[in-house]
Amino acid sequence: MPIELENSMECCSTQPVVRPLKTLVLLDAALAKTGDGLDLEDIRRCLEAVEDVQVMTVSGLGGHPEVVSASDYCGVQRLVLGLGEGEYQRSAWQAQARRVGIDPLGIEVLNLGTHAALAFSKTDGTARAHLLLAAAVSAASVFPGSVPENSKPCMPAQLSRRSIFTFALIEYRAVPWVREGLCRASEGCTLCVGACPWQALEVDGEWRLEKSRCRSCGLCVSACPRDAISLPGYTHQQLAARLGTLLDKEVGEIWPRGIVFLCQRLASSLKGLTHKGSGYPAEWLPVEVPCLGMVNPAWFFWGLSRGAAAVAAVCSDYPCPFGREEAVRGKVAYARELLARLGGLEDAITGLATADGSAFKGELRFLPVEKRRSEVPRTVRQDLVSFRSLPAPDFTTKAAAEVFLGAARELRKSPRSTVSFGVSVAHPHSPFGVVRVEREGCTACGLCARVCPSGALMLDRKNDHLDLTFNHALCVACGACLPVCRGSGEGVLTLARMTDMELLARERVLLYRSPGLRCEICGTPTASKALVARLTTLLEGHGTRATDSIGRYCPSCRVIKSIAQG
Amino acid sequence: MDAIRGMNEHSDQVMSELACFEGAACRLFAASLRYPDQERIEALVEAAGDLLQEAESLAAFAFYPAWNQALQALQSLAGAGHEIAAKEYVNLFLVPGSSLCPPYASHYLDYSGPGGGLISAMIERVYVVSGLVLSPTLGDLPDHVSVELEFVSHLCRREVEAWQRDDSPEAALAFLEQRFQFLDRHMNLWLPRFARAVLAAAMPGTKLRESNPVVHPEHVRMPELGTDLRLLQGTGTDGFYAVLAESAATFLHHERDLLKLRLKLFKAHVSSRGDIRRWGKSRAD
Repeated sequence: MPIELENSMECCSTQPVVRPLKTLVLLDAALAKTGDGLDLEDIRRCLEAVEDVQVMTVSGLGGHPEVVSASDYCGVQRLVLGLGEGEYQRSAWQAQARRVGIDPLGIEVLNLGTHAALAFSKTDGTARAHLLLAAAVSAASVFPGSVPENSKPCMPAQLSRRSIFTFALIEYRAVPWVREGLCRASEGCTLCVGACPWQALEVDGEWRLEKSRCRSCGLCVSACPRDAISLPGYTHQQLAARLGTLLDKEVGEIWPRGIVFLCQRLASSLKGLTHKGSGYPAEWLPVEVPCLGMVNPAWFFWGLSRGAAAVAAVCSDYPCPFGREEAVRGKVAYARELLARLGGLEDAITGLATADGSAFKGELRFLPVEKRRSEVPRTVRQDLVSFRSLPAPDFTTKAAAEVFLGAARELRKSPRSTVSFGVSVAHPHSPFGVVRVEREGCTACGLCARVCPSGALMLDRKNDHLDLTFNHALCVACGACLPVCRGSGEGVLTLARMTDMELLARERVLLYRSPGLRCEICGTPTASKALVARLTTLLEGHGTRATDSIGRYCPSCRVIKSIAQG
Repeated sequence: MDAIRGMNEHSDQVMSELACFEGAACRLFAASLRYPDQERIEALVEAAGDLLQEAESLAAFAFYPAWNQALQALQSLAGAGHEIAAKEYVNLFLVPGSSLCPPYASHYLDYSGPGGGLISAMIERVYVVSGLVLSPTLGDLPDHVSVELEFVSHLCRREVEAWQRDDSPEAALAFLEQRFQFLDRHMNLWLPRFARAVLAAAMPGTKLRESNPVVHPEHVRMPELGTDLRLLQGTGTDGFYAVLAESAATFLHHERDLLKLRLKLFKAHVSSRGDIRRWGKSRAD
């Protein structure tokens, strides 16, 4: 049984303070006539109610950035485009953004033409467009900015042979890059390398990305336990802002709302649906991510905690180019099981795979409106909606643990709840792992702590003893500790992929304590008593003068002593 | 055949013009990172003024904000600016102390220690293989940032010459490849570190960490926040070389990516058309 430490302190990274930036929203005037049309004046009025947001309606927006004069960009730092049905000319807009001092990778582009055409009525379409634009504005305003390494030059997919080498049409896609000071590649961590399906990452003491191989799936972003990798467009600040606004009761008139996480592949197939009424219910609000494999189950819980009636993760049922079908299904199954064990309604989290937009529409009718408005919101919202103060998670397990604990605390408050903190879910897709140590075999050598990329295992020297401690909230179950443990073959160190709410709540626990030895000459700490005992046992019968002195002297004094003794 | 010829003539010209610009840009950065005597600075200020007028045509490329910043920084030296630049140059690159940022690759790459000579010797060897020797009047090491930038510029010039000769697409491709390898395997490994070191020295107390809410690398390198660096003017360390080093690093990083893309497009074209010589033959027809 682990021992709880007194005054356990956990090091957590300070989040940068990001202030909202002045954002310009450009709306295509054609949106007023698409389908039943959108009420652009109403949208403008609602969006401009937010400080530092300016809205302009212009004609022929998608392909012609020059329709907006340079003076209109005065002081603007972020750009949101609400396009009609026209084609988006990425290269032209990126060049324009550079000219006026806006980060081109921070441009938010919404194809509102599709949503307007899909809506059942003008009111529905306008309400959804307003919500989506408000979410895009929030995401744009907290975009932390890109570095040159985040840009990958490429040529547009549709290009004539003649214009291939002109480079006038060059466009830039966002690729992930590492944030200095957070990455532990120099200490041997390779978790992101293992997560990349394209072998685009290389870690050789330093993090390197081969951009030509990278497909911007974002899997490396979510694989990093330190949130050290940033992908413009999908930073945790942007995702949290987008999700938070979509679920903000103060914004928009649609309620209740469901959140649907969509993979880019499916989102692009939805753009093919352009006739009236072909859309899915307006209550379902899309959050697009490059690959659903990058979504942490904590994001489902956080969505529910912000008042979502239900959360769905929907990917295309064509073979996933990133090979993540199983992982997505597994994450949803894990989240449902944990929610059920915590006393929530598991149907609030759904995973779907659909062939195309039409099938998607059919699938999202799985909860009739009446049922969704009665049962699901009651169960989930009443129990979880109250912990609004919980900060949005980033991509670290530490943040996920806080979300799960927050959810558990709120569910315990419910008068109907019988949930205790003793909930434990063993699941192959649990984001956490539990490391256990067989006390008889451990020597507190610290090798496991040295290779642990997330800092879950730590070896602390306190006065005259060495403590091997473990924090469940930091463990990503990567298994890096197992092969380095000299005694793991004998079952000294074991790892189980599971979520133990009690352990999460206790933060750092003591796994093993061994008395430490000090150099008899200079007093420097040398090794644990258990390690020296182990070495002595191993070398029994082969002892030399050197082995005798291992526990008595530090390496420097040992050399001096050996020389002095001849 | 006409279609191929038309494409090739057009493409040769575009590739040649691109290489020509890249060579000129590298020369500009090379000259800017050498000791700023009055004559050199005057020439640079004049060149920057001319280039700024044409800069907007480069907005299609991601290095545009960095390029603009570098030109503006150079232009700001008009008048008595060379004295300020010289003072900063001495502090940053010559005088031993906490703010010293050696502009040598060895300092950042040589595990035998700064001045160990291994990297320096290897780079000199690269020059020799390309048919170049260091000028006796140079008075500096082969791995100085300016010398390496001059070398990249030289490769660009050779590539331009090859594009302009009707029958040398292979030679042009070889120079393109050589430039890519030099940037990918050498310069881009140390130039960003050098730029960060200069930035840290020019902005004492700056922690290049994500956790710093005021200034972290993302913000410092954001185009619209480039003014952060220029705001330092008049505070003793004016940040001129921080802007230049950062711009040069950004430019070369982009250059490496663009070269990779060009090589990919070129090879894809050749593989779809057969022998690379057809690229040249079609022009000769």
